[in-house]
Amino acid sequence: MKNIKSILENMTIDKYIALFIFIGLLILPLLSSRYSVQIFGKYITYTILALGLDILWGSTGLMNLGFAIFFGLGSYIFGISMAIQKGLPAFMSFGGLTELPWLYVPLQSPAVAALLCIVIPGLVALILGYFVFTSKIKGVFYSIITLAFVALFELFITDQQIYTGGASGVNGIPTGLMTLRLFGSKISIFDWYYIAFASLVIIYMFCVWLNHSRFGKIIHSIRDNEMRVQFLGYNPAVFKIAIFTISAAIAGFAGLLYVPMSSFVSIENSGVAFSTMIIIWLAVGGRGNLTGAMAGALLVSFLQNILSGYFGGMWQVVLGVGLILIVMVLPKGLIGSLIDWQYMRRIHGRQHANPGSDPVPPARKVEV
Amino acid sequence: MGLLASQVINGLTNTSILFLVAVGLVVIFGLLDVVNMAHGEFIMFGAYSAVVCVNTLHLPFVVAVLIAALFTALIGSVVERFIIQRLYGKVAETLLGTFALSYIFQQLVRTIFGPEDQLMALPIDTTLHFGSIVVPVYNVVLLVVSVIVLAGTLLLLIKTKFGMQLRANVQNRTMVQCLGVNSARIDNLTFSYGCALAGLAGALIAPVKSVTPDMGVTYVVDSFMVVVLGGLNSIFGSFMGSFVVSESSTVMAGYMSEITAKLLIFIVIIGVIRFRPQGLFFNKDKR
Repeated sequence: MKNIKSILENMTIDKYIALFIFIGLLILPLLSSRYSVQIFGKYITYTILALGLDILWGSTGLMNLGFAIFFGLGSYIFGISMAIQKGLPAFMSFGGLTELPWLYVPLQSPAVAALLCIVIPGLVALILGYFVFTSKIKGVFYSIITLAFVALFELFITDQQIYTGGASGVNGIPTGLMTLRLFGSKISIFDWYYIAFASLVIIYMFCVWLNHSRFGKIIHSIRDNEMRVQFLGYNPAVFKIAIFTISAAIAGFAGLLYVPMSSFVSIENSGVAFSTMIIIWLAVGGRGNLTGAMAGALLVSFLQNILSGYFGGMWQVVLGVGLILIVMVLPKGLIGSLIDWQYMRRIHGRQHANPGSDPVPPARKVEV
Repeated sequence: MGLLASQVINGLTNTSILFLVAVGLVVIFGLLDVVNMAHGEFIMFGAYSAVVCVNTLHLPFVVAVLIAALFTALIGSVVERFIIQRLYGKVAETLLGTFALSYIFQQLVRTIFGPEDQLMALPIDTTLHFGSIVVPVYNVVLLVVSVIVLAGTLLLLIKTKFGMQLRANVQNRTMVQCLGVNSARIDNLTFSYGCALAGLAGALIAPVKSVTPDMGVTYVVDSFMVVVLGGLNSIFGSFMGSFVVSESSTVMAGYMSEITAKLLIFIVIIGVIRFRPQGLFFNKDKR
């Protein structure tokens, strides 16, 4: 009992908030309507996506301006798989196709599609990462290349109307979702919600573990001082490629889960604008401490839902002004600043308890 | 053969547009180390001010272009003074701050002018005929202006006192301050100059491209490609970069889908910077 108490006392504030978020999401479906379950199910996939970017940007310092591409790949693969369950979807037959393109044949099996949702984004990241990281492309260049990449992806998807539904997106997903069976029964939206929730908790645990493992220590060092990591005999490129691949796979999985929540896949959730939005979630919540990513994703998406009702388009101005204020006043984001505040308080508490002891050096530096 | 020739000439027009659009970005990034994500919105401001000057105030086009450049320079100066100045040296923060600005600017313009395309007549609508190929005179004007901007910017940086102070400011800021130069003012002027170039580009492309609140997004990504290829701090490199990118994409677009052409070029660019990570024309001496 005493053990648990000391653990709780020593827990940093971000862990408390993470716990609070998990409990809130766990009991939410019991208290609310089907519609809000769907909305919050969507937000859960956003938080998973934000976790994926956080281990890339927050932990390794690689600011990816095109992260939505992996989310988009996952959601497009699963969405198209759902759309072709009952024959050719409308956008393909209107485009003049009479039979399924060979590329889509494996997607007829939902299980294969689900697997590909994780493998393909990972593979894309692996290849791009190999080219980018083995040639000393650093800092801003990486961000710009990822931005160009997502812009091209957006153009490509919009251009390939027959194969991807173009600008109007993939339709016919709900009928495909109805055919899915898990242990012989249909999967309701509540089931999907809890599948997403369980995945969120597992991925959060995985990210926490990753950050505390040896691998995590090395990627943190790459963020803080890449040169020194090289001097210690590690090859930073390998670690960067690995973390890029892992985060892309997480994003692809989030994209998979997004499909049943929205029943619709379009470029809105895989293009430049959405990539920027993910960056904003992390900026608002704070980077490098997982909770910040989750809280930022939930907070901004929730506010967007409410405020865009009140303000209409002016919501963008509100968001912009808010973002500028955060960048200028709380550069570590909301949760990051809370951690700092709690940390300072603890130091002061300790100094009051036994004056004369050295102030403890900062536990960790999050500077990206 | 006719197709190839006309695509090469179209490519020249696209080169001049792309260079005009990208050069402001290069000036701001190369000299201040700020990646201005709101660059596209400054282009948009330039285009809208030209539209207002010509359509509403019935000013001549040349005056409209100058007003557009001055107007965006003013906005750039204000933005630098209150926001960018506090963020120098922090890459992620400048990106986020300028992102935020682009959100605000886009929405403000959308609120005032509405989301629809603003139309603007070509200031010169005569055409030149070379055999079977028709070239609008305005496209020639664009090319001439872009060469003037290239030469002017290079002269400004190399030959004038301001340019010398500016380059010195990049190399050794403390020393420049010791010599009694107000380096904050130089930063401000540089940022405004970059924005003025964006405004100029916006005004010049307003008659030939669609003018909408989110027009900037399309140009920003292309300009970044140019900048990555040409080298982030080389003005001449960005000219060559725009030449390579637009010429190859326009010529290829004659034979395949434009998107495929762009994808191919992106792959080539990734391949090129694999061997020249700083871009083709990175200028070491300037740093």
